[in-house]
Amino acid sequence: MIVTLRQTSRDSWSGVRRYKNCSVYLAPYLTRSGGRYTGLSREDETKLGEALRVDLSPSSEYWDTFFIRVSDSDVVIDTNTPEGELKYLFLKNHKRVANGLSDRTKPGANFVLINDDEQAKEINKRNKVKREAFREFDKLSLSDMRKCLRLFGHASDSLSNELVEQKMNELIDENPQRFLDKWVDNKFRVVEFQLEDAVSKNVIRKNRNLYQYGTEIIGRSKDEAIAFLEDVKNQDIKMAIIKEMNAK
Amino acid sequence: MASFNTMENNVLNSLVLYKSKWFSDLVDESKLSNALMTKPHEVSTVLSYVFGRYEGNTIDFLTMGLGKTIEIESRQYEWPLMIEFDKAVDIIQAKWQGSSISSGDTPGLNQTPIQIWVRDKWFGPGAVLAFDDREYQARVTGAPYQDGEYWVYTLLVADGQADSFILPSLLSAGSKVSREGSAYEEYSEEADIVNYPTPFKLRNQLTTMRLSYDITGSAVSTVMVIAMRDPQSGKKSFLWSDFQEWRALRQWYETMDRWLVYSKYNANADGTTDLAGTNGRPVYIGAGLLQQIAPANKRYYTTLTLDILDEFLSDLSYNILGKGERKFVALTGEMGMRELDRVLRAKATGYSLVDTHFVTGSGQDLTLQGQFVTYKGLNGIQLDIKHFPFYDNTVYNRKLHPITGKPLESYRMTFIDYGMRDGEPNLIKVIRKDRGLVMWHTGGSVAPGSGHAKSISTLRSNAKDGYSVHFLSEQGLMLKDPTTSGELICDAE
Repeated sequence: MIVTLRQTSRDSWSGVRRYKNCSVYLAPYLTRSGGRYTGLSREDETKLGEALRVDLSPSSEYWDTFFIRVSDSDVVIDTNTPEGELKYLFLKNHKRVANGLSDRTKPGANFVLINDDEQAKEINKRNKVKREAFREFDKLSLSDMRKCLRLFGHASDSLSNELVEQKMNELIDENPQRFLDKWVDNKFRVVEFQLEDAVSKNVIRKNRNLYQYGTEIIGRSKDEAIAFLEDVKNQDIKMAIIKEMNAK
Repeated sequence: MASFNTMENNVLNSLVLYKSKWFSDLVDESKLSNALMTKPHEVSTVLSYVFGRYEGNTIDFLTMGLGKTIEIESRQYEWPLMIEFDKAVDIIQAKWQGSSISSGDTPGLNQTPIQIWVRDKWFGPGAVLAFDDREYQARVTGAPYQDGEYWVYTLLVADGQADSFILPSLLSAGSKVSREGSAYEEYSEEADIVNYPTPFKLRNQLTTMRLSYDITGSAVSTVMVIAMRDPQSGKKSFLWSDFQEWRALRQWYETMDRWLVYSKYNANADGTTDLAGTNGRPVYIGAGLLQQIAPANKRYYTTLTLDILDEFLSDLSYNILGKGERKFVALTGEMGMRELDRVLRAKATGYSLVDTHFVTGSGQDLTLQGQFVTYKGLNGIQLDIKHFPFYDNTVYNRKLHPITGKPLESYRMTFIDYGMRDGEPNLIKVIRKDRGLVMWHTGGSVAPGSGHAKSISTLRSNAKDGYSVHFLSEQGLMLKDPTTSGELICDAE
């Protein structure tokens, strides 16, 4: 496997990653318990230690001078060699290195380890979700779209059909998984829409997390309110709510 | 009359600092606040020197204290960073006999021309270019021509042998060529060209700092005296100030020095900033020393070894070609001093400890000694190690070393190249004209200099039983070539 180590962040003042002919040396660091981070498990230490004929335990002098030098270009690592595997394992969980582009938001990380295969897998997975979301989107009627927008917190009643479709498209493109969770895989979506709609028409009043219909508290969270409206015992109240909403 | 007009280094060598009661020799002209009004530059240089020497305000000492300052009239300042005069140029594409080159080809065989596409017009006709493997060289034939955004060069294998060719891998996209030399026939008209690379520009801005303090009317008037003796004439002179004022100055200088190290630039690309002060006007902050050297050489360590130090100094020297210019000062805390001392004393036969005086020489031969421990190493490297108390301060450095429990910052070693660049110092303090150190007071029942108000006709600015003193400074730092500085950082989770 070929992996690439790349510096991600630019210095906010100079606007460069690194000045010409300058380098940063990534090296082991001390852990909170006073040990030394090497990135290797016991098994790795033994296996790679034998292959490289060095002592790879954290206290070994080998780690005093171990470094990976990063200058203005990427570092390419071939994990099929023992040296490459050692570097890869060292970098994989290093505090300054994000493991893959999806891990780029890791706090304190200003390098990223890119594995082309893994990266492709990750991107394919995301694209698959996106394709599925858009397939489901195609099945929606305009009325469903308006309901769905309401679940995303948008007041869809006053929007034109074109704007409703455009807004839905943007939301799905931005976060397809959220659309699947909020609409496609949400078995309470109809009740949830009714609840949101009733709140927006002030039929159900929402005070912080408290949902009230008249003087009756129907839930102390959204989930509780949905469960209340789903409950067979409360169907008369639900019907009253719907009637009042239709009247508005 | 007290005199402080000869502020040469040799005068300052015999400087003494002591606390005292007011005495008759302390005339008004030598009162620090008065002297600052009449001789602002000289006196603030003395202060930088004094605080640098006695309080460890090293950055101010290395700049203002040694006269390495410039005055400017605008808030922002720019300087060019000429990183290189020549460079290797990327090959975008190469062709031989009209087609792209594949791995089995023999481009250039029998003196057949090779075309390469590059981004810059970097070479002239007759230039001999070296490929990534310098065993392979080719000569530019004729002038290049432009193809879209690229320049096309025609090359012939330089060794002139019919069976020679250039390895296809050396002509692949992303490979580089650089100028090795040039060669011409008799009576030729062609010539290679001179390149004028656009310098990389660095921009910084001044930060306005302020400090105010109050003196109550009943404060005891103990004074702080800076006594100086001119070794040539033997004449003594004084600068003095109220002790309270001195304490405030000390805090002021310490804060300024710390800020010159740690401040972070806050302007947008167009020079504006989104940070606003109470009155709605923008608050500008300049880049401090650490931010200026952040993209330079940086190495993390857990245990310092001679190999690490040696390699690091060699990296720093890489961008300095003249051996006489390889002068570094390493600012470090108590623990860093111990680490360096352990490594250099025990193992470094290549480094020799130099005996010290405080400051010797002048201009390019300036040597920092005395409180600096100086080592001279191979390849003309001179390393001055200076204790930097800011790195030890537990108030400001709260992240601790997991084993020793000392501040982790105490192990930090900041290497600054303080040599000369084209006759100018590399590290310079930049101040706004006349605003390097501005001091004033608002008087109440008491005023500095004139004491308590004894008459109803004495005009004072407020009703306080005392007076307030205000300091202001508009300043910044310029590390002209940050590529030759760097840091060794002890790293922990």
